[in-house]
Amino acid sequence: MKQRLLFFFCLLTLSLSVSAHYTIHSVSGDVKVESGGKTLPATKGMTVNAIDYIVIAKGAKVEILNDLDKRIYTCITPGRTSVTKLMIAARGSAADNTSSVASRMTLGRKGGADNKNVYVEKGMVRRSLAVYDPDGDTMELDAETLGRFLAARILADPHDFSEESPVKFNCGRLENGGIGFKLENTMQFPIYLNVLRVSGGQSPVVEISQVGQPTGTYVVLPQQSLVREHFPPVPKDESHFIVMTNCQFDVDKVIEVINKNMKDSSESDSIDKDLPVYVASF
Amino acid sequence: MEEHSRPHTETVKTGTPVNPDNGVPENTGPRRQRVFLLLKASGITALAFLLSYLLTSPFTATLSALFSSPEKNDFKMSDLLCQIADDRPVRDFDDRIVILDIGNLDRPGIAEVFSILALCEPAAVAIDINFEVPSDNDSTLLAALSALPNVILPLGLRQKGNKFEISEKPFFYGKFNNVKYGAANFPTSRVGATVREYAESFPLTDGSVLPSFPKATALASGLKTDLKENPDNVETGFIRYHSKEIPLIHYEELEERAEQIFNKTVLVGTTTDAGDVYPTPIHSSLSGLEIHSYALSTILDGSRIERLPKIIADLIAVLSCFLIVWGAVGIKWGTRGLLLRFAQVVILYLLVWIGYSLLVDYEIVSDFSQAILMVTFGLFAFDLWTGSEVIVKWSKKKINNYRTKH
Repeated sequence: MKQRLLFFFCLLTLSLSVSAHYTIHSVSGDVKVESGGKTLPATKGMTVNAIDYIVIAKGAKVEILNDLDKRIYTCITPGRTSVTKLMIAARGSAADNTSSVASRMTLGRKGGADNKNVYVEKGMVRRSLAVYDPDGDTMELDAETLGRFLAARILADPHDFSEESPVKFNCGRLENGGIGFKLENTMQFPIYLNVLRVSGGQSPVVEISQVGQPTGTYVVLPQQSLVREHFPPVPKDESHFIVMTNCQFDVDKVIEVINKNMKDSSESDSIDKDLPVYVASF
Repeated sequence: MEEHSRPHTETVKTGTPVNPDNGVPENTGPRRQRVFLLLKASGITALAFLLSYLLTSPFTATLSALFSSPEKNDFKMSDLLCQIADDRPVRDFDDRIVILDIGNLDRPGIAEVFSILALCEPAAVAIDINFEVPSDNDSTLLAALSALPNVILPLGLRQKGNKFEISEKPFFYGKFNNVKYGAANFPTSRVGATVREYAESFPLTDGSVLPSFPKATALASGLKTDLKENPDNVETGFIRYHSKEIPLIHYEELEERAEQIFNKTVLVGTTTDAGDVYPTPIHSSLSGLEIHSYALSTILDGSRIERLPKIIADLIAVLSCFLIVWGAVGIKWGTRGLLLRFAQVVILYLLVWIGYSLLVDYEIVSDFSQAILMVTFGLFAFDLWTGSEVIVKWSKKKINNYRTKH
């Protein structure tokens, strides 16, 4: 008994004194690290200690790289847990063959929430787009992934989600109540965009905006600009937002997915910060 | 009317009464009855085996839906097991290898990246790019190539009978002594099929043996590997994709992540070329560069994933089906149907569990799809058999009656 206590004490001392070998490999959603009495948002590459605590919100995910055994430990269980316990639990779960098989033995196809595709191959090739953007012709952003992302953003705050724009971009309401935007592509590659609107009311619905492009997406080549204005006034309780990506997307499918996910708001995903999408509201 | 205490019996040609539930002659001893049932169950199992071969194709799609697999051109049980294994919350981080993605850089850009890469002092550099046609200002590129240590370049091969010949090579092929080559071909059943295996080496028409691209890279890296060269055949090994991550660096991050390149084996290429993507057991599409990296990682691991002999898998298939069929012919309870369906589900689960455990615990790839099909078809075969028995007996009875009358 004494020997075991001594061993545990030495292990604890060793773990405290040796420089940390654990880093945050990836983060998705709301994850915090409690270390040294401070609570910080978890970021990729952040060093953590064995006795630090990880706080995982619902729908979030964290991966910890253990440099000692060269393994990545994943946790998606919401709650507060120490780094050590997180790794032990992950090991236990990985070794449990029975639950691994049981989790996979479902009858029927997987649901959309399990889709991890960002880009998919297009079913139809458009010759004119192949001329316009040879590199981006064959691929499009997965509508399911993009739709879930936008639904999560809208549910978080349907009226204001702006971030630093990667291109020169101005948008807003016109004096007479209309809306308009001007965009100049300062990137080295074409950008694809469309404008959507969220209707007001208790059950908001997403549709194409009056300044959107219903027959596809706008494509703006490098060193090009695009101006669009809608002069008649639009309802004040409507919010319009622009969706900008590096790849074309099917706006109809995206709208369908957004509306479906907004209805099932309890199952919305945490916001994926790595998706190559820029969103700004008017 | 007098009640019949015994169930209605039918007679066969010999006049022997048989039990209509299982077709066993009634005046035989228990041992002979068991033997009869055993023979009948064996016959039905054989029928299920035959059905599973004849009707395999349409049911692979059903199996894919049953196990919620992503749509694939060719479904194999081992793919499902790899997907289950990949869903585990622990995976290996193989930092012996680094993938360097050059995106859509042109040759001057690639040359610049090579120059910076040389300064990072990698152990070996495997370049998954074919410079087939010379262009202007190639001198910069060639100078940058010569500054890299242990360079491996890809060759494309074309099959000629049992041998191969080089069909794609760089314009400077054979002019650099410090450059080694490896065949970039993947062994698949057909074009567009899932890439599950890597090749050790390819026998060429000139009698020599060319190592595959990942194998040549493993040799050049200086790390110990278990290598096989066969002058007559293409030996293959399973690529371990599941529960593994290989670091990937974009060329724009090369300078700030230079320390991650030092003394590592670097694979250079592009991950975004739509013409160089293939399905794998766990990815609907993965770039050829990344497939080579997984193959290299598997080679460097040293352990080889073995395939369960087909005879054992077939034996398990026959035994599993026989259990179900034996229950069908032997059980006389009213809840027989419910019990057998339950038994089917349990056996199906066990087959997947055994296959999965063999893969993750013993690195043995098994294919129990035959067993799953036979367990599914076992009761179908039983119904076919017993239905045919009734039809045959009815026909015989009609013929006998006709002969009696005439």
